Amino acid sequence: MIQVEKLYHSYSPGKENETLALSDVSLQIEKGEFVVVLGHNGCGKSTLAKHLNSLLLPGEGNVMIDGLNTREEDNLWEIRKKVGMVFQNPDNQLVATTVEEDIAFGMENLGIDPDIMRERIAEVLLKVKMSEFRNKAPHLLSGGQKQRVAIAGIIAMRPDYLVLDEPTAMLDPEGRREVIETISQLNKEEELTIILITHFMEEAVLADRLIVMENAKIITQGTPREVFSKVEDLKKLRLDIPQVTEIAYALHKADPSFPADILTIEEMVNQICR
Amino acid sequence: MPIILQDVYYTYQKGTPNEADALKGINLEIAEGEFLGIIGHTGSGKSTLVQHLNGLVLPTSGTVQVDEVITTDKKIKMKDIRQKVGLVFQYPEHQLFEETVEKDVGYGPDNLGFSEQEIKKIVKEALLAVQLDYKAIKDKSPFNLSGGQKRRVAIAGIIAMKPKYLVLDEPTAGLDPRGREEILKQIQKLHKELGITIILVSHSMDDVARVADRLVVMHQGKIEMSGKPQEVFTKRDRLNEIGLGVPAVTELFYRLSEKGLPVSKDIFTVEEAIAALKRELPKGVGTRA
Amino acid sequence: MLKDITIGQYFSGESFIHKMDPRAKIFATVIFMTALFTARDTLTYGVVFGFSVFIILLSQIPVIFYLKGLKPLLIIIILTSVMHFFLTPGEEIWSWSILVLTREGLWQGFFMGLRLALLVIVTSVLTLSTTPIALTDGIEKILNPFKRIGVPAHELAMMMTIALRFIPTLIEETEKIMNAQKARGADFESGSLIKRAKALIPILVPLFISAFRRADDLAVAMEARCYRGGENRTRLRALAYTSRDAVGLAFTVALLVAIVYLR
Repeated sequence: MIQVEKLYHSYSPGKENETLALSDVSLQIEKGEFVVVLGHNGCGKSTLAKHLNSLLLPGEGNVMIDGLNTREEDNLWEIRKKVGMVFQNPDNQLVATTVEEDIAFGMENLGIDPDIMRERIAEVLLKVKMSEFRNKAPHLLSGGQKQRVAIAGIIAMRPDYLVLDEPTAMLDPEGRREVIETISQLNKEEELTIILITHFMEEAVLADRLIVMENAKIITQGTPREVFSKVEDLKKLRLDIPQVTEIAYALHKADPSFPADILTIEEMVNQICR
Repeated sequence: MPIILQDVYYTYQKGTPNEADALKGINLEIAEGEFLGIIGHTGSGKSTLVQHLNGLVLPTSGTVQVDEVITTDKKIKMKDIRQKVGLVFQYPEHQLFEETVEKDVGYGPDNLGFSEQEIKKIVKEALLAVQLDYKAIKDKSPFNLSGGQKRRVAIAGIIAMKPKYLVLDEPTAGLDPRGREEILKQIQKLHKELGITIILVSHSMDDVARVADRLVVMHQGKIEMSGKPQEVFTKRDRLNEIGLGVPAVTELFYRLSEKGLPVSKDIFTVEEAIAALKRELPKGVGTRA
Repeated sequence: MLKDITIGQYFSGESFIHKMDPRAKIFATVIFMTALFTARDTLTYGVVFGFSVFIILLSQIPVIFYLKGLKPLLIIIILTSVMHFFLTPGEEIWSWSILVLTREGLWQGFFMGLRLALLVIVTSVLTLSTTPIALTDGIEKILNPFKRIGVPAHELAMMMTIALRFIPTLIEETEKIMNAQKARGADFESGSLIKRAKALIPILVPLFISAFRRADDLAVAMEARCYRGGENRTRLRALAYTSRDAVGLAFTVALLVAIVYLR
């Protein structure tokens, strides 16, 4: 379980350009959950992500990973092993000159035996559907492929939690689809806990739980259905809302018996053509 | 006068084992004052296509004519074409380099040989066109701005060249919904208020459908279809097949009509959808399924 | 496109030499160089030359690739030879004004040219038959014992790996930035030298900024993947000497011994 208690974080504290990035953020994430954190750039969502594996340390408050406090230096490597991270720019997180070597990088850092590494590389490549690219150079891959290699490199380290910080922001729709498919599959089949940070609502609807951040704070959370049915509030924040939800909401206003919490085209069609 | 592409072919690395056709027989006319959307996947040839418009890439065969000049003509000055057709690349903020915003936006006009006074005036106008406060921002370093501001400064750098045609390659890539909306609005303003011809390249059907008058769909180096958004979206099955799809709203109305509901299929904005459904919806669907 | 270029000059193959351990190849190259610089007459140069031909054939890499490697250095080789032709004292065979060609000079120049050419070619055997990454591993392993006296073996190897990984990315980026600035009317092809140098600023500044940003991102990503230097790290590819390496090294040592004995 990840516990975030009354977390505060400031960049350049004490200086004139001090900015508060997280303010009184409390949060619990259970094992096996698929959590999406939604919000605009600069709302604090990436800062929150970096707290989950000790890349940043709390200004105030605590972050506990399976009971390990990120403030304690002795816990650092154990926490980083438990919480894997994938970042936004697919180019800037691949270290080695071949896919295989890159996936090995994290395992090498953990001191894993080469034979076990080889087994795991084959296994994770299969999971992210990149087996035929084992000996390719990263710069020859597409954005979506690079991100899947990055994910493979993390899951090869056998983490309990996978934090993805806008992994699809720089991808085209095809790459986005590939990456999201991979993530939800890992969640369903491997019961890997997913914390996905994004501003795409198509991705947000997949979550078990949706957390919306604005101005360094969590402003609402719940199932995607609960959150997106608050159409007015989200519009005020100028966040994206699934278009069918917007339509359903307008129909609901005209005729309150029409449900306002429709998320997908499928549901809408079923609602109308029963 | 329009931009005319006639039978344009482009081959990468001709004569090497890596030889690949990026464009295969493109015929396209872009009229003055148009708002054209070009849609396609990565690798569909759309980026290669737009680099033909300002002569950065020259066709392997065929011609590209911008107003009265042909880009492959040896006698023309490339700078003239680059001035006429402004090209905003993907992530344009990555090209910023000057110490101040004013100098950076002035780089283009300076290359084109405008005088210092003219440049000052042009820079002011260009920053205004992207809704940045000239006085407040001109002496700032472009590197200390927010992501959205940086992108606007970069776009202003192209507008400052006073182009007649403005090509934008994925101008909303990497922005959050708020930033995306703002940039699209500004592009619409440039089109309406300054009368600049806009060529917007994107892989997001939803974005382009909302703003463009006409769409060109690229697939595997060819123009797969073109026409008004409504016309293009009637080919929904083909668009799904090549993985581009139609806007969510259009998809909804297709599915509804497949289920036998008498709804129009050429609807692609949320507002139209709401109006149509209020009109067409049979009584009593309101109760929960 | 530029991104298709290959880094280093590795020519893939399955030859005896390709299969040797990179460390053994590095050592063998050093021993060969010693032999090469020990040679001093027709006989010893002949032996070294024969050895080189044998190695080239053994590598199964087309000779044209070796000659390509020689091309950029051709001027230096010719210049060196010519200088020796005219500046070596001895029996005069031809002269013009202050230039005196001597018999000794002719030989000396020929040997010097041959020495440089063989130096380049045999070094190419190493780089053509070894992937850059294997070369990096080899260098790291060779330097490892010197860690105690402060040689940062792991760090050097890591730097080389990252450089190899990012060179294509940065080349591609340079291309993009150049195009973007050309679209803003930049001209990199005409004007005086100073003007052209100045025209590079709009390329170099964004390139450096991007490189720094990438370095920053990469450092965070590496840390997040539990990177903490070379301590307690295992490697996917372990280097291991085989009998092949022993044979290769023994053969090269035999060359050195022969040259020392014959000179």
